[in-house]
Amino acid sequence: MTYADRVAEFKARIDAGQKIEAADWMPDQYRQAALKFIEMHANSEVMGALPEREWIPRAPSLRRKLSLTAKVQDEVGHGQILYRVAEDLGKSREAMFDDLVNGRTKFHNVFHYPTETWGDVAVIGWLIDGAALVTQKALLDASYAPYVRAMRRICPEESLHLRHGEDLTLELCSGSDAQRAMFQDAVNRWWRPIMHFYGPPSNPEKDVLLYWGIKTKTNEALRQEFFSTYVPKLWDLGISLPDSKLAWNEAAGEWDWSDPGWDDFWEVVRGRGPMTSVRLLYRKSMWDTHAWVREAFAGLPRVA
Amino acid sequence: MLQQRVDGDELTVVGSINAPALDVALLLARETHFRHGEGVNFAVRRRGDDEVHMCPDPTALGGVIDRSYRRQDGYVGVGAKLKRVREELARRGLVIAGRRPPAHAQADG
Repeated sequence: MTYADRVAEFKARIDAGQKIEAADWMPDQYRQAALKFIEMHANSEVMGALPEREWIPRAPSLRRKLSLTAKVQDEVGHGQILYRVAEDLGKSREAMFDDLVNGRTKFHNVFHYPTETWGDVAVIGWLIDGAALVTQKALLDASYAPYVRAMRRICPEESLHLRHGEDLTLELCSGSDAQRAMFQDAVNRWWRPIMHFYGPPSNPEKDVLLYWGIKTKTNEALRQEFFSTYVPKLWDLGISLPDSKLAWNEAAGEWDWSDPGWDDFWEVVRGRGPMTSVRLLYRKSMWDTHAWVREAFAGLPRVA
Repeated sequence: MLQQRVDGDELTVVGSINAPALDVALLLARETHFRHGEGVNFAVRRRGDDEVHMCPDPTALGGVIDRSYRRQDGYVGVGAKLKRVREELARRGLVIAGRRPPAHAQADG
């Protein structure tokens, strides 16, 4: 059987809805695409914990401090699970870390921005985790079985985080004028990064992740799902959105929205976001100072 | 890693970990996949082997730190709270009347 025959057979398995296991033969293109996607997902879970971590010491109550700490722990745990999935695709955890802190691999655009107020924590917990959950639920149907199993583990925790964020939001929106203003200000600052979350509109025909079933929905389908889920809720809470065009288009059966501009998105992609270097430096510092933990776990003497 | 969701269920594969020894594997499995008390028991099996090593003390699943958060008690009632806040904001005339899908009709005042 030629390589092309094996690739065609592999593609037929995916098109028939079969799942691919780590030990199965897979085309190089599939392996590389899955590795790149899952590695970025893992990077984003770990780096995404940092903006919220900054607010643990400043949480307004013990209950909020406790829940935020638990959420940060969960997010880092998701990173550990996903790095393990990525490792089986042929790249060591050390290499993934090295590529991350040296800017050779990426983490999600929304985690390159500063968190200025407690309102930002509510936006991250509700809207950004909400956007992530829309994406992650779609991955439950992905073609790579170890990734699907990881998503089955991660999605329920993300649903819990969503309730955490929604609870914070409701507290601010039903509070004083100053609290409402704080949340509105956070939404105004984060709306553009949230619009960037799913990436620019792209041609699904050229999306290698869709072709191999590693991703199951287009960027635009995910963005529309996000609009339908969260925009009405925000409006019901009296929170306006900084997009005058944003409205449901009954005839088209989809949301109209304004092009947010993509210059700062591409700056972030190039590793030049407002907090990129600070957060990578922090990540490297933690990796270095906690090396003894990894060494202790890896170097346990075998029982005679 | 294998998980038993409820009594009587078969063990099913839920993920994998790297560990140099069995006790470390059980510890890492618990911390990455079972710290919220998911299921009634779990086990690890070396890749390629048939021998399954059960967790020696499944009663420890989930631990005690942050229990209220883990059991979601910390956020019970969010749905009712959302309804209450929406109604209050509608009464105060703060709801924004944007065009929305029919399934998301505007909250009544």
